[in-house]
Amino acid sequence: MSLARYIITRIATAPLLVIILLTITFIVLRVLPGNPITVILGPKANPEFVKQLEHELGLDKPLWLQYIDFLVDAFTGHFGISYRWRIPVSELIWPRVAATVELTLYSSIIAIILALVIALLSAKFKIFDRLARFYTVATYAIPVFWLGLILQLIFGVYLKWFPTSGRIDPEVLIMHPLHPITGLLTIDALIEGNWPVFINALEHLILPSITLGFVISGVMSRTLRQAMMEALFSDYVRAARARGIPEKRILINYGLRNAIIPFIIIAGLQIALLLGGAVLTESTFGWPGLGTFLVESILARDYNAVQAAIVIYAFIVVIVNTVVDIIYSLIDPRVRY
Amino acid sequence: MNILEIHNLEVVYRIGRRNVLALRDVTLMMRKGEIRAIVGESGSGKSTLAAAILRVLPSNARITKGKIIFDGIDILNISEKEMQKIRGSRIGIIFQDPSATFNPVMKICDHIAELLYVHKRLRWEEGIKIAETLAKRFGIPSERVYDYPHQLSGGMKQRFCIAMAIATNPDLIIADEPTTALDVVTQMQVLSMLRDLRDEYGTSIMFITHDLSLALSISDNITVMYSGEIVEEASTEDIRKEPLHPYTQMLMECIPRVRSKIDFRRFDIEKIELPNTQGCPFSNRCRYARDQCLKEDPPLIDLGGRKVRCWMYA
Repeated sequence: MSLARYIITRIATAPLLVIILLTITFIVLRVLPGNPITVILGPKANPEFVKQLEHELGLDKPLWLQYIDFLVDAFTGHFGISYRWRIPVSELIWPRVAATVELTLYSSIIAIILALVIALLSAKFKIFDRLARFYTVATYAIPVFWLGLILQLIFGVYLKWFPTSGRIDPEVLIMHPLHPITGLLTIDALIEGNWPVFINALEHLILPSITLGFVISGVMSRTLRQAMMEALFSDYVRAARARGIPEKRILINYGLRNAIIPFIIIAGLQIALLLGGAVLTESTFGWPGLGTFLVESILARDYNAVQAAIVIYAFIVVIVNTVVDIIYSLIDPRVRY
Repeated sequence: MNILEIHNLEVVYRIGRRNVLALRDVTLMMRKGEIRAIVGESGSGKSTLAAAILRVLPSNARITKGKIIFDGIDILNISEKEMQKIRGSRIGIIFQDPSATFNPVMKICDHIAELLYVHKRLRWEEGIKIAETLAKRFGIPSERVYDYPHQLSGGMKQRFCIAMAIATNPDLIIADEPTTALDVVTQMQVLSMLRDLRDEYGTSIMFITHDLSLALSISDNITVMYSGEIVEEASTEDIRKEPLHPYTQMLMECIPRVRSKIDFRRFDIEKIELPNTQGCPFSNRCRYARDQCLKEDPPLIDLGGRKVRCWMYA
């Protein structure tokens, strides 16, 4: 089978995975104790109002119809009305998604650069390898919010280099209005050449990205280093040395090129985790992302919003996995498609 | 004119807290254009010899004595950088397992192009063209050079290994059991390729094998090694006619012949022991062993044109 066909099948099977995830979400939400009507109207509500609201929210329909509505909503990206804000969830949620994607993008870049540098240095120098081991332990042991707070304290409060919370200063956005295209502030600003917004958004991104990037760079650098070592002690590297290939070339073309394959899988999983699990970092830095949105919605029993957030997480995980699979097949010639 | 001179080479492996002698007093001269077979069983030091010549010994091995002169260059006394220029460029190597030679994520043509870029500063496209020509010369369709190693059969891979070893036109090729992983038909093809190479370009070949019959069919001269020592050295003709050392005789008897019966009881597993540490290393397996053999290691005795390390000829 050709590579193109492999990619197409890979993409075609992704929706199936999403449907399975959606079904589980739907069932779990219905099985959970608690009722959105009681949350909105209170426990002693007039039964007439309860019936009217049930009808309005579509909760009087049979379960299978609700399920189909839910699936249609999910795939059209329209998630019903938020009980809390009384506006369509889709209007609320997309800016949040964009914020999380933007944060993930920059933290991934930081983490990948850190991992590459650390792995290459530890493959080359023994002393650095020992230091790198401490680094990995540190990334596991240091709580995210603690690191975030310390960075805020040093660089935000004492040095006043970077802002400590939010995505952008509202007055900058008012002075230099931006038309959303992708929703990612830095990228939209770049497209429009809106430098004040770009710089301000970047300043806001630096501390949370470093915090998140640091946390995931530990696992990434360890995986990469391990895979590098495995490659560098292999027979084909011995053979390459015996034909006089210089060490630098061996490190990059033989070590890194083979090690990048397992690395991409781990990095992909880490990035998918970041997109879904950056709740602590988002809360610490007041980042208006999907993580904070989910927490707020659960606290407010805003079930439509919770459903929407979970659906989007499912989509993100599936998309990231598919992208990882495709990249994997592109760089490893041994993968059969 | 000798292409390779090895003088009194000694290599020691550090294993745990012990030092193990892998090569003892190995002296070997190879003429230009000679095919020299190095024959010996596992652990006789033949691969260590190859690694020592290329200076790619494992990190726990040390060259403790001796000299290696390649084409007038004392290669144990040059910098790593200079050595790197010799490896692959002036000394080519072919390994036993062709699938362990290639980087799994690189195409065959990129391996050859890389080698030519590193040693000859050829542009990548030129290297790929040369790879295609080499493939054709070895009877492989030229488009197969764009394959990845896993897409090729073992025989094709080994032919590409040889192609890669000769791509830079080296003066010496070390073939470390190049046919062991191959079937008999491919074995013969590889052997004739190596012979043609010598006949056409005068490339010297060091053919390392455990199979005396292969050595007899390809080489000009044979060096038999046992337990890190050279035990016999003679022209292939002399060995075929009259092997002198008891070990060589034993190897000769291992070659199956039509209408001959091998007495396999003589090669009973229990009888195969580790080399003797005192006296002649072969004495505990030797049918002619005398008291002297158990006490003293014999010197390499020059019999005029051939050498043997055995007290019988002293």
